[in-house]
Amino acid sequence: MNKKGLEIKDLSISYRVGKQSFVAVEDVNMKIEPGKIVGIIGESGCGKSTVMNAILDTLPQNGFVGQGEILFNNKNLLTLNKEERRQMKWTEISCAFQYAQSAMNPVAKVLDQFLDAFYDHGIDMSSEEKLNIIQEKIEMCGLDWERVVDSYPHELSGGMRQRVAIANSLILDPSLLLLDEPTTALDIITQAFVVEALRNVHKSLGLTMLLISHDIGNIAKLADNVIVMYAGTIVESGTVEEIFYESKHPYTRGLIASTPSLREDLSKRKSIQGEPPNLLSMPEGCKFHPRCEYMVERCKQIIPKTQVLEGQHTCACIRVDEISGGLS
Amino acid sequence: MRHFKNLFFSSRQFRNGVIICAFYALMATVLIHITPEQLVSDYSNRYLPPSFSHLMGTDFAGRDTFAMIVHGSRDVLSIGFFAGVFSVFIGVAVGSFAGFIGGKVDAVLMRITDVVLTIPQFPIMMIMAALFNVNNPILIGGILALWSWAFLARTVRAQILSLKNREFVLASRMLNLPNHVIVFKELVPNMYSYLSINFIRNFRAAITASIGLIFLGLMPYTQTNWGMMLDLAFQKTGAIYIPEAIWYVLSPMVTIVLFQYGMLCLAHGLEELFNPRLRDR
Amino acid sequence: MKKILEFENVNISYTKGMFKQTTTEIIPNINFSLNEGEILAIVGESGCGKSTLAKCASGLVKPKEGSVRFNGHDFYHLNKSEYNEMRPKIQMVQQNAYEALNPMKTVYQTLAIPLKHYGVKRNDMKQSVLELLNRLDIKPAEYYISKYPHNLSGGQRQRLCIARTLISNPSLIVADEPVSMIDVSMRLAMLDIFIQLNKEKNISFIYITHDLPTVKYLGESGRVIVMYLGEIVEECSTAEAFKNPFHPYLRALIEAVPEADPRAAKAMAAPRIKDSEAPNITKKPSGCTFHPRCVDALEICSSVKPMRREVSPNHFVSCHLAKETPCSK
Repeated sequence: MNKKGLEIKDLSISYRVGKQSFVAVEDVNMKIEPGKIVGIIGESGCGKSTVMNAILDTLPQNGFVGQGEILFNNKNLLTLNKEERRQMKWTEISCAFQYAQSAMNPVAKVLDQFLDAFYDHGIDMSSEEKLNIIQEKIEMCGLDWERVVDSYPHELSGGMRQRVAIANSLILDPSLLLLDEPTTALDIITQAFVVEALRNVHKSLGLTMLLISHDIGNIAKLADNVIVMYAGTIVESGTVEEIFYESKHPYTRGLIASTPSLREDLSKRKSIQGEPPNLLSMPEGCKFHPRCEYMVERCKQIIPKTQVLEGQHTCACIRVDEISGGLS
Repeated sequence: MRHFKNLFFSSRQFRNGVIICAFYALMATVLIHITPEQLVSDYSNRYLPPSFSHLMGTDFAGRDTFAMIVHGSRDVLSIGFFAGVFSVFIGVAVGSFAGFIGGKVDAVLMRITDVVLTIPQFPIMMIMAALFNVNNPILIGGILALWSWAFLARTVRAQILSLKNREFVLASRMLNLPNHVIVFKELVPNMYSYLSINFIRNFRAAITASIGLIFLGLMPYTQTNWGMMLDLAFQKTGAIYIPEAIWYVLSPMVTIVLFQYGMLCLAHGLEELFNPRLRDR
Repeated sequence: MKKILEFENVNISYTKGMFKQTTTEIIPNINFSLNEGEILAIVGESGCGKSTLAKCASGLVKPKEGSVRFNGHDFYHLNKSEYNEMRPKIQMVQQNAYEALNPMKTVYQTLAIPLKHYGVKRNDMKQSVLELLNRLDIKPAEYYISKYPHNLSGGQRQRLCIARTLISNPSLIVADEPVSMIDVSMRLAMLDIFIQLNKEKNISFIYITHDLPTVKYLGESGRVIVMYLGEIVEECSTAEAFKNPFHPYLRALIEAVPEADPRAAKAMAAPRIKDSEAPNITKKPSGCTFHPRCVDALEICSSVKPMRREVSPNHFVSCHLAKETPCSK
């Protein structure tokens, strides 16, 4: 399988509400190297799901791309028509969603749902070949073939369903896999198994993966590169080490500081004050300024531009030079 | 109030509803005093089409249909109103207590409701007619409500049963709030839109049901009652056989339908008014 | 130390059916107690019965056998006046704050209705509501008074729920996964509220979760109970739980927690446990219920139920691997 990368340039996405439209995602630029695992970290309302929907062509009716390009394998996806984009789904770009339980047909057996993928794309292969592929993918995700193959979704536990969904997304050998909150809503031990499954998948297939999550710990476990989003913009991006050990943006630092850890000293942990912004009433200037402990007057007026720091590290904060880096 | 004004200007449907209902209210209160009463027959002018002097034309006896409608409006609207209000109140009270308290109370109340639902109405009303004659719209509304509360009680109970186990009800129970506070302050407001639709339905049903009451002798005979006018137009005066009489046949029908439409628009708008989530969209 | 809550030989089961009844046993026999002013964390994954336990502790689910004593009185066998006195003292904070709020009521109404019941007069009502909102950091309070639940963020909704529980002046709050639906960056602030209420008003807490780091955050002086399929497998202080975890299940839970440190996280091995999920609580394995998933299981584990043993002072484990020290409850 060819390794293909994804590049997004100046992407802006808005939603129409009544007669007005609101910008959900603004000026997003990202470059995902082929074969890498990239994690997008952000909390509710940051726009990460919107970006994913734009890549997959699953934006809701009232969502539209205002400007920008999504380049996959150097082709702009936004210039393709609906049919071409549909063809790419599952064969080139695939996805696994958060609530895997509701994404599966409750009255069809798991095996049948896998076979559906072959059928929908008009793949001509013998049954034996198909079964072999399916079995290979299921076992790659750490599941027991015997246990899973003849079951209905409700007979499997949440973690198993999530892994089945991941296996299903790999059936047609895609080059890019998008995962929306793969570990949220699962128990902690189950999360560890799902993460192992993803690690295994990446090791065996080497495909490009884009993980969207608010679970910082699991992103630290899996990702090579990290992009941090807040209120529809990218506030910081870089390698996973740059982001965690040398974080510069106050939001990133605040986010890492608010994650309680079992091994670190907890007295230095604290939450970020304030509330996440409302899409309908965004703050002026830097969108993070009401909650930022480094805020100055200029922050209310200037929208910070993304500055390139060392290596792959970028940050969008006007005071970036004054903030000393590092995990506390 | 502020919400009312916002809604009035933004939603055309709500606006229409308010205007129509306001017009009817006006009819019942103000116009009734202005429009001259039509008591004298004028057979040479029967079944006239609408004109300036006869806004809805004339009826089988040559009287101005519009004037008849205006004069009937007060009684009709008040009967319908009281019927609607009583039926909703009784239905809500019975249904919510039965549903919320459950157990024996529920069983007893539901048996009573079932009896009322299945009891034949007209024989009872005939007996009542033999015993007394009512002229008071409030009482008439009450009598009509007797037959329409039962169905509402059942559906309210079903709603309460489904809401009863919601977490916010649980929270109130844990705070040891008394049952009546939970029912009337927390649960019933969640049903406002449903209740307003039922209110309108029972209102309209009362108008047509009042003919029955007139025939049974429970209500005094009056030709200005819209339901009565409908009946006269269709069955008694042969108006449907005469092409010119179409205006006479249509007038009470249009009046009733337009009124119901107005109330439905109002209710639809009220739903937005009462449901804060829809409002903020 | 005064005991505020005691569970003695409690069995919680559900019975279905009118004529031919089927009983599903959720919790066969559980014993524990909570001291006044203590924070007790009940840790376990979904399906271990902790939510059922939470409901039983809150007075919502009657046990089939055994007694649940609140301040010495059996909560499920009270007369009307005793019940009226005790009911407000135990409150619950649930996972889904949105469901726990009436969507048709404003913030003001949500608090005013119970405040009125607890004796606040009309003239003082607005002031009381504002005070409560300020105390729970829902600011600016004047702005939020007329808002509805869907206008608030997840964290604010949960704080509103907590504000509501404080109206009845509770001595015990049972919190069932209170932060799992809140954004990560605001979870600690929520837990800070619990810690503050515990310190200032001496409110005891039962904190139910599967998120271990939050347990550690709540304080090393608290206690932890680890549940698995309806049974307590380990019970000790919070400090002990993280310093010397004994039971293989607790160890696996700790191993599974990811770190916000890429080098450490990537170097982490998979937790030492078989099977990603626990079996259904209605189909418990024989002997030690954990044995099918235990990597250290002995021969005896599949047939004999382990006794509760004290492995160190005030540290109890139900595991055959524990030394043969007889325990004291």
